[in-house]
Amino acid sequence: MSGGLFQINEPGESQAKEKCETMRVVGIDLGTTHSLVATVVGGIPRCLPVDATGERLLPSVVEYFEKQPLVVGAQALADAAARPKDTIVSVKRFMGRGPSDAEVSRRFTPYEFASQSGPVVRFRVAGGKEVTPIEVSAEILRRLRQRAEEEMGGPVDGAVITVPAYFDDAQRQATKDAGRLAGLEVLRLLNEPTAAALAYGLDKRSEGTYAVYDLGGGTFDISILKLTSGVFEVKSTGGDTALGGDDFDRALAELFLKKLGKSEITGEAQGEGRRLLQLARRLKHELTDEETATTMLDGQAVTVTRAEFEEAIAPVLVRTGGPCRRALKDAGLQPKDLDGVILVGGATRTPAVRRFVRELFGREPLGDIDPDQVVALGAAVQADLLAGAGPREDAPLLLDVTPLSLGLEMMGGVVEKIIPRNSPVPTGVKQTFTTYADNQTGFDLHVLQGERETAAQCRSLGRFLLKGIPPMPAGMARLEVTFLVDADGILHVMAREEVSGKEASIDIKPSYGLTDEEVERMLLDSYEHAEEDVKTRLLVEMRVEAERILQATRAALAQDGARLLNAEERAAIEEALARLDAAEKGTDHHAIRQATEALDHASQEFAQRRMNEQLGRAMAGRSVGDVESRLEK
Amino acid sequence: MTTPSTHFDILGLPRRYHLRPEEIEDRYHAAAREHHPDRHMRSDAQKRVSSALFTAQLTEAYRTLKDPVRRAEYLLKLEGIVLSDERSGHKVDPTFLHEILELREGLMEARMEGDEARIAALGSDVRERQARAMSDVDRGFARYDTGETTVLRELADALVALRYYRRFLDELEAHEEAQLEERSS
Repeated sequence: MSGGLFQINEPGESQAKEKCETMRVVGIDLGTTHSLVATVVGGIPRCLPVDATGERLLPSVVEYFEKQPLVVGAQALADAAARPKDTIVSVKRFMGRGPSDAEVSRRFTPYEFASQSGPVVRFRVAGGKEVTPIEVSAEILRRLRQRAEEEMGGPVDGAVITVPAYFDDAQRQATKDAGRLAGLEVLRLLNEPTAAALAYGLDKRSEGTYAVYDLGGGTFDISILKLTSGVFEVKSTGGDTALGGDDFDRALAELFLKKLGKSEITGEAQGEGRRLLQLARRLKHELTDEETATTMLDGQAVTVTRAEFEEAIAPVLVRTGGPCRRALKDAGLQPKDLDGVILVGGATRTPAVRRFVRELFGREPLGDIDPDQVVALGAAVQADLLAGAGPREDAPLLLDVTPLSLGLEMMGGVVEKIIPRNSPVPTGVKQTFTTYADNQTGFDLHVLQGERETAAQCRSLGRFLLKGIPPMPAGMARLEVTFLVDADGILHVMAREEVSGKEASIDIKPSYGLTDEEVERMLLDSYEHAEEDVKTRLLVEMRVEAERILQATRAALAQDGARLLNAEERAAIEEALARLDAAEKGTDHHAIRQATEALDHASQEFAQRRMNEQLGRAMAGRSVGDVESRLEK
Repeated sequence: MTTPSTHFDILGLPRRYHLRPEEIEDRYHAAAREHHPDRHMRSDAQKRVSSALFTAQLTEAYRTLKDPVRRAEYLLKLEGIVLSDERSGHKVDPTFLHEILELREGLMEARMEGDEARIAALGSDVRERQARAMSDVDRGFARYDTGETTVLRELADALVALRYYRRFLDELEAHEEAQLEERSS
């Protein structure tokens, strides 16, 4: 790499610490319902007890108080129904999610959210404190770290933390940030199904091609892996990060309401929702072994049969079918080509799930390692491999893939894929961009993740503002941008200007993740947020967004306005444009947001017409990832 | 990602079309075992960055070469033949374009009418065309592999056709998957 290469995020920089010979490393399964910590002792991975009773599962629940220290685990879970707003359960479902994500407004969700939370959701808990999902997860990780240090008799030097294979960049970034916030050196983020396969593979010395069906508390993953001597290669992966055993509880809760003849929960609504879910969960467990289960609700006995339960959860199971078929297709395989199907996650204990998997893959699934522990055990194995990496040539190597395609927003909001899903990681693409105007000194790249055709339907990873290009005639500058997805599945962007050799710099506006400074600030001051900071950040974000839409709309009007719009339509857009232009010069971020939304709304039809044209043109076969492309913005 | 070497060089494979899948996979595994960042966790930052970048190159080489169509397209590119697409401004054979348009219209009509039998028939028609184009490519490259480089120009049309077939089948398969999900729910 030569001198002109700039990096906003050097891959692997977090592992800069000197490694001593005897490292204490752990694997952590940070789950929706519960979390575990494991380590390898004498070549065998073991889960460590998380309390004095020897329990291995730490409920992933954090309870906040106004005047006393927070509580993590079983005690917090016990208080969850009584203190629904101050007790955060299933926080994993909120990782890397913004206030506008569907998860935030789901039924039975009892939390109070901070209204001005910027790109990251914040829970408002006891005493008006606001906490992000990253901070809540960090408390769970901190507890596990403490327990591991007590058990292992010294500080933990590094950890492998597992994530659902289908987690996107924002969710991975958030998990890594939580690890850093908990004072852990995150050696690697490992995909949960891959971790499970590692635990199985090493245990059974199996070779062949396996499907891992992982239905956890709140996430679903399917991975197809090929195990050969020394290499575990993931062929494809798929899933749904908002689908899991929690949804069984919700389906049961709805069934309770139906049986009681109610359509909504009333009274102390939020606490009631939480209580309903807890009852549902208990009944779900009973129905694993029993044909019927009964509970008392509002003074009435409510009985649910296993058949009713299975009917209620059938739609959830069906939703796992699509990702499975797609993963097989992406791997170029038929169910008969598999050597086995491995079940992972507590929800796979439900008999209906096993039956569904058996029918889908046409074989009896394997589940002989405890489905609750297998992910943590695999993570411990990987941590052990990484800590010892180098001298052990025979150590197995994991080759994982990126779950979602990565693309760039092009003219008209169409996404051009630059890295297709299921590419092995690390993976990278180099693209050369050139300027479209004389003396242009910067431009903006919008990176997205997802499989859909338009930017609006994909998840925004961030906007990269490339600045400092030396003034040259249009088309002369050659800006080489490298997109690298590292082994954790996290994106890094690097750029250099080739002709002048001059420095081009990149500013990233992260859509979700935290910067080092933010982590530092949170470490120093976990609970209080400087009001002014938040407002300034919001204002900057709003201005960047406003500037982008202003430029894009002006360019679009200049190019296609005369052709695609009548005078009246054009006047409406221009009026909205002028309003935003005025608002953007002020300091009221609410006003900027409103004007941005108004312009967005006013130009929707226009954007649609332009997109239809674009899609019409894009129908012709075009190769993905051509090195040379021109950014027309 | 800064060296100008070919994907074949990076994986230590001969520059030819007919390669066994296991051969490509074995080379990739062996190279990854040496260069993957997991193997360099104890090295300095510079080394870890370069190992990540080199592994990304390996990945790109593997992804391109393991798929026969991508491998064929890549060989054409190495020989300086640009496939006709909108960017190069090269014209695709109008007769072929007309056929594709008719097939697409047929699919659109059948979908609107919910005529699943016709959709299935269109699918097997295009799959047959795809198989024929693929065997043209296979045969042509057999000549290339024995040193006849001039044959590649003749294969460009078959490869362009394969792109269009792939797109058609992607759309059709997405429809089939949606049908399947609707039926099972």
